[in-house]
Amino acid sequence: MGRLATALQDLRALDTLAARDTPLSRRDPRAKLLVTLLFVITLMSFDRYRVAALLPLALFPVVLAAQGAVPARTIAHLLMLAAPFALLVGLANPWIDSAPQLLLAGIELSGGWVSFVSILLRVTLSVSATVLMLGCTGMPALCAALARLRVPQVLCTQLLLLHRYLFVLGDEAQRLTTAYRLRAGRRPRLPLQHFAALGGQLLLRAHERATRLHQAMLARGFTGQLPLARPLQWQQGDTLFVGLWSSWFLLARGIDLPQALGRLATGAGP
Amino acid sequence: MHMADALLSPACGLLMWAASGALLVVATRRLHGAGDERLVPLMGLLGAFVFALQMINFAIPFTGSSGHMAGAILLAILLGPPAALIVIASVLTVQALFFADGGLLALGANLFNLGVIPCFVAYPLVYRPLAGDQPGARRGSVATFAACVVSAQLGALAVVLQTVASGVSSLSAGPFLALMLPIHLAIGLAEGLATAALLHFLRRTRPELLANQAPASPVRLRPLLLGLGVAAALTGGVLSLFASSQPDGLQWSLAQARTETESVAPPPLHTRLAALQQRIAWLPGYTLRAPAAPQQAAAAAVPALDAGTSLAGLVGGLLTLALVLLVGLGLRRRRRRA
Amino acid sequence: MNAPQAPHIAPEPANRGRRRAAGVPAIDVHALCHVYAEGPAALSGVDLCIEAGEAVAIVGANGAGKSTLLQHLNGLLLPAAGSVHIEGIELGPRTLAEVRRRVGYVFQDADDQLFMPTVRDDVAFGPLNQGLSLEEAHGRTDTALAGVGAAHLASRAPYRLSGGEKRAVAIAGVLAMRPSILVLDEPSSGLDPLGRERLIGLLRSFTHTRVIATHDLDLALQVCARVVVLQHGQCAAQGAAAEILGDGALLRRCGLAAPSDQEPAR
Repeated sequence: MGRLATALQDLRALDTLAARDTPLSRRDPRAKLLVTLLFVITLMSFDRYRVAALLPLALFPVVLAAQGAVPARTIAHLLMLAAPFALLVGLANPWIDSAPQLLLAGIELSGGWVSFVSILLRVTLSVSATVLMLGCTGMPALCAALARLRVPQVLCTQLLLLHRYLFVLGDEAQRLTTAYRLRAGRRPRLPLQHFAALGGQLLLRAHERATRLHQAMLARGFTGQLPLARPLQWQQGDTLFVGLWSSWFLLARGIDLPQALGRLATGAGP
Repeated sequence: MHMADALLSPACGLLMWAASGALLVVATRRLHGAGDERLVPLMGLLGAFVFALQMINFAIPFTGSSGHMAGAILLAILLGPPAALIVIASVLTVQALFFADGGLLALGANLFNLGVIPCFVAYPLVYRPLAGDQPGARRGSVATFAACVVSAQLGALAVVLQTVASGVSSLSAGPFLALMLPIHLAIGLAEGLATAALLHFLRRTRPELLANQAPASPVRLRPLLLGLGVAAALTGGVLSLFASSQPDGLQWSLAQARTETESVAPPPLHTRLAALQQRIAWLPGYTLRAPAAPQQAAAAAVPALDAGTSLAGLVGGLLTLALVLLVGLGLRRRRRRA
Repeated sequence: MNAPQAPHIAPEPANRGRRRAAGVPAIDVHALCHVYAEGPAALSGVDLCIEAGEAVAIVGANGAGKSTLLQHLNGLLLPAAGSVHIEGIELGPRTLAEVRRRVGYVFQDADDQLFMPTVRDDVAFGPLNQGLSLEEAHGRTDTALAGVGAAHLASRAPYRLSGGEKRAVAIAGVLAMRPSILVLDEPSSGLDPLGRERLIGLLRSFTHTRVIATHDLDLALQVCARVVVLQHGQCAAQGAAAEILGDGALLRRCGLAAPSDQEPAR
């Protein structure tokens, strides 16, 4: 119950962010999609033992957060939600992979710890980049981009309707469960039969609403497809955006920048 | 369980994207053919329904813990496999993009594990044969149960294979499976119980909603075979590598060494392409985490346990981090002033 | 919704050169019957005749058949028996598109009606489906939104609107299709008093033929010249609004309460 409320709140917050006029929101959503995909692929293409080498890529989410004027609290909140599964699996690494890899201040760190930190870093960077970039683009713009990228109409329509009615059904679900809890006494958890009844009611309401929605669509001439009538203009700024960021990603992937920087700083020879 | 970007290699992620993407397109074509435009609003609403439902926890009997429904089998029963796959794809997309659950790269894998497997494998191969055409309460529940358990187990297997094939985690298939399968057995049982209970409720209140099991959307063989084919290829490809161990482990460690030396030399494009090629070519090597391999691989990976190199790496890393954060703060300040 | 100015949302004359012959009523319902699958007859012989430009309220207790009757007016339901003529066109499976071009239907729950991601997209939905170009559709959208006082809401997402705002946008979405007849199902439900007042002002300003199903008898009195009372799927009474709504005994017989007829709490 609490999870649903939080989830809806987060979604609303992201939608608000997407609606503002920032340098990021003016970019074509196709460019944003492309760059985010490139980012994630580049990030994940590193060898598992790379930690420092990943850091130059961190420039991407940091700049996004700044350009999108995303409040720090939102970012922290996002990171806390992120990928518990990956972290759990990653935690197994130090146990399994115990061959020493790093020598730091006289302490030998096993490969497992290095790869665990690497996983941590990957999670943080990929999650923040994805949500910052695409979450702040807003669903309508995203679907317009997908439609222009030849993604089947059914899928775009599905995403739009899902997003539209998430809040409606989410609110209904909250009201149902709240009303239940007020009469349910001191039960700590929801018994299965009651869950089935609540879920079933929600399903029936979804069905009825779908019927009325269909009628409303028919009444205004619906013939099977929603018009995704949003003109997208690819601008020079978008080409620059894609070009600059992909160059940075390639650079960071090809050259171990922190290592080079560190060598400069500590005077250690190449 | 949602697969995460951080555990996937690009090759594995993109392969899963290709598989799921192809099946998704097949599903949209099937829907187009059926031509029932009443399905469009229903799919949208049921997607929202499933999303909300997943957030409601229920008590799993006899265990003292709670679980929640994924809803894939339920969707397959209510909408038929093609529509269900599309709905699941939309839910997973929203979760990946807006809730940091899963990720962009992992979306293909998640769609395969949580969508293709329930809709194109468990539903037609387990639920339909067991349930028949108009199942009564008991038959329907048994079929639902079985489908949910099979779906969860196959999904867990898929996650293990994808993780091991990617090589970011050090886990090898054996212990990972030993961990995942029992957990997902429990998850599958819980899902089965909840789905069966929901369907039972529907049967009592609006049985006509369950009546569309009909040949109106028959299970077509081709998408099913396609899904199975991909699953088999992935499974076979990875499992066959377990047959030969040492040579591949050696290849992997050689590749490691090669990457080390090449990463210092420009030009970036050549390096990237070479690295990419190595990764793809030697990807099978990553899966071999025979116990002996880590040591020899690790030894080969770092030419020498060199304090100087490690220190340079650490210092450089910290400096990079500091620089990046400074850039970020600077941009923020400039925006505020603007 | 802002207070509406002089009405500048007028219905378009009948489309495609089909001129309505003088004297043909806007809506002509004759012996209409409808049965739902699981219940008794929802409508058993309703006769109704509405002239162009009239505002008629359909009132009745729950289950009297108001919504069922309304849904026949734009072909969401087809008659089981009897007939429905919209501007001379008989309602049937082949004339649905024609009928829906002339009749704009505003649903009771605005959430069912506003399904596009933004207000502008939603109001443009109807015109785009009518075959208009993007510019023309947006032109109609802007006019319609301005007409209901919701121009400032154009780029909002529907889920962020208040009840009154949603209602206004829903009406705009229907107006943008330039129908000659407006059908509204419980338009004041869920509105706060201010929103309700604005709605009443808006409805009074329209020159379309208006058919309003409502429990809100005060609204009926203020907007409609004529009232039809439904009971058990039949027409129990019809007549001038002031007459019908002033007849307390009649209303009570039909399961209704006269407007402002109540005793204050002690």
